[in-house]
Amino acid sequence: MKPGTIVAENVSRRFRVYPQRHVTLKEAIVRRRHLRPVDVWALRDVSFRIEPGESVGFIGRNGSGKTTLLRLIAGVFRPTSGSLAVAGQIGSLLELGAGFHQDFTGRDNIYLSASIYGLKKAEVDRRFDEIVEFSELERFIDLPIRTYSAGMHMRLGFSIAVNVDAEVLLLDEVFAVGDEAFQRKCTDRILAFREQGKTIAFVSHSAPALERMCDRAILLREGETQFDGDTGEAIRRYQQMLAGEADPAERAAGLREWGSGEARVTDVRLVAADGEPREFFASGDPLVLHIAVESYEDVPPPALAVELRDATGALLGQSGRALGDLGWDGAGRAEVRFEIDRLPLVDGRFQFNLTLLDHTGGRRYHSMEKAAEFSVLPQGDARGFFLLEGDWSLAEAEVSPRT
Amino acid sequence: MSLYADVVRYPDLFLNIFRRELHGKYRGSVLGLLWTLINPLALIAVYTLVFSVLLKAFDIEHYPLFVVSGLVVWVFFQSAVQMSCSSLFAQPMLVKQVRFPRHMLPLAVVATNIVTLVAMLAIAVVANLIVIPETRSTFWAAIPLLVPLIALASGLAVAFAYLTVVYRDVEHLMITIFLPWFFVTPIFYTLDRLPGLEGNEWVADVIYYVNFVTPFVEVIRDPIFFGELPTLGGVVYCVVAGAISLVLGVVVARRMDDRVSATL
Repeated sequence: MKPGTIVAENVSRRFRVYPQRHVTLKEAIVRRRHLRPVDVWALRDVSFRIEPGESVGFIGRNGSGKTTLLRLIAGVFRPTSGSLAVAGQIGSLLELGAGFHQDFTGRDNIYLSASIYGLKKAEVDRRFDEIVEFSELERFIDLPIRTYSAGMHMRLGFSIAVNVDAEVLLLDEVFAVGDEAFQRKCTDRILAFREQGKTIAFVSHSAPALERMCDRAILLREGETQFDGDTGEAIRRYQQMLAGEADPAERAAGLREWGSGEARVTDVRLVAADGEPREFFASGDPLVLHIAVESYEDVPPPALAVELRDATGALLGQSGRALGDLGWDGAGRAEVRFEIDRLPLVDGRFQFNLTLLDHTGGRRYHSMEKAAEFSVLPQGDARGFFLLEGDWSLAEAEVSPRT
Repeated sequence: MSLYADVVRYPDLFLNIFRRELHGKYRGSVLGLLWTLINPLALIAVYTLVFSVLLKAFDIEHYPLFVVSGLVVWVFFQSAVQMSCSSLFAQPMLVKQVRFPRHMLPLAVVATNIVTLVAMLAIAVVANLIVIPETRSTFWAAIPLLVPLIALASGLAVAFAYLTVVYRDVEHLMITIFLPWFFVTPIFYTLDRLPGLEGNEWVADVIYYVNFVTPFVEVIRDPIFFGELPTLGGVVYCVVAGAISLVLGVVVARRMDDRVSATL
């Protein structure tokens, strides 16, 4: 097998779940019969072959077995039956900063953590400068990491993990850590990994991240493979699967997007007065929301609802429109503009949530949380949340003569 | 047995984990090492006061040196096994998410206790060499016997580290067991000078053969305190016990490895 190949053949994994959370030795000896474990199959007969250089996403609801699969690939435990073979060094971003010791300096922790990932001292020596440089912690590297912020911890952990020189990289949901600039660096590093022809296995709920990273996705449901193929198709099936869910909480579990999928929002852009895409707006500026919509099935033109929410998710306002009223016949693609002349916000971070509904409003084609996020900067002496505008005038006054 | 060989196979990993544990134990200072010696020293002082001075229970010359010569073995055994119990349990993310030879964690704990063992033993031997001239020709015999002692502690340390993850009361159980266990181990007395044993010699046999720490105490104390070479029977017992313990560690780790990473 060439390095970077992952082959799973009829992989099943069983977990024994005990009725009590903690089993004690006393109970195990005294009340053997009461401790019958229940067998839970996290994975059943999963087979796939990933070639070197492929980026494959694993999607599915919480509990569908995708994390178990990643841990199996990582080698944390073995399949109960079937076989799973991975060729080449595995780099895992499942646990950043593995084994860090708080009293050790950043330098010592690099050696400690890298050795847990399987690197020899000489190999760490060679990569040391690059790890430090990537983490941007040059000035702090000889301080104990208990003095680091949470973000600095993660940066150091990430830098070590991506410098292991792996042929196979395992990524979990949150691989981008730290501030925005560092997050971009993380993403770039992962994309560079991809370009170097390394294999990536990625678990995520985020449709855009999956579409950007992976050409192929495997949809898991209750431990079984439901679909293996094109990422877009896998996402569409996943969203359909969630739409069929009775419980709305379950429907949105860990997901920013869901819906039955007959039509979808395919692109969202925030644009300023000059037509340039932007993320920061001054209070009172014009703002245009560009929304591309695509319909996949022969349905009447849907309706689009826009919600404005603050950073905590509280609803500030909403607006909706039947797209048929705007003149779209509901076939193929459409680009919709939602224009706000004067942004009535003063200061803070906000988000738009979008929902595509069928024309009667009964069926949700596509819901997208945090479809677009933006920040508003205050202008002049305005303060607070909402741009309070009004005209001041003197209605009545008594002018008393000064003495 | 490759489980133990991993220490040599991945020296960098082992050294790093060892340093981490060492730091945790001694807070990274020589003063920290001295600190861990205070507890045994206090024990020696109390036993000398109670049994030798107040009760005059044992007519053993150089009683404090006698106690320290046995205590060295016990303190190492107890703290290595006790401290290993939580070595896997305390690192859930490492055990759950990362593939690496996790049995290194309890073994590193044993290694940190070897540091204390060597320090205490050096103090005891030097004091004995000065005060008891007979030990000068025999003390060396204790050195090779540290190997089965370390084997005994290592095997049990691995076994209990795995057991603690699965059975949550193991660590408490150990604390409960160690105190009475200490008293039935001939550390502040010797089996051949107990007045109550006359006519009941079988009790001494039970203490010697069933309590498997006793032979270790004796084969190490004989050369460094009594100036006698250890008995052949004692040495054989220790070597066999050490080997059994190592096998036990392997068996438990093999059987529980999968369960440990799935449970935590």
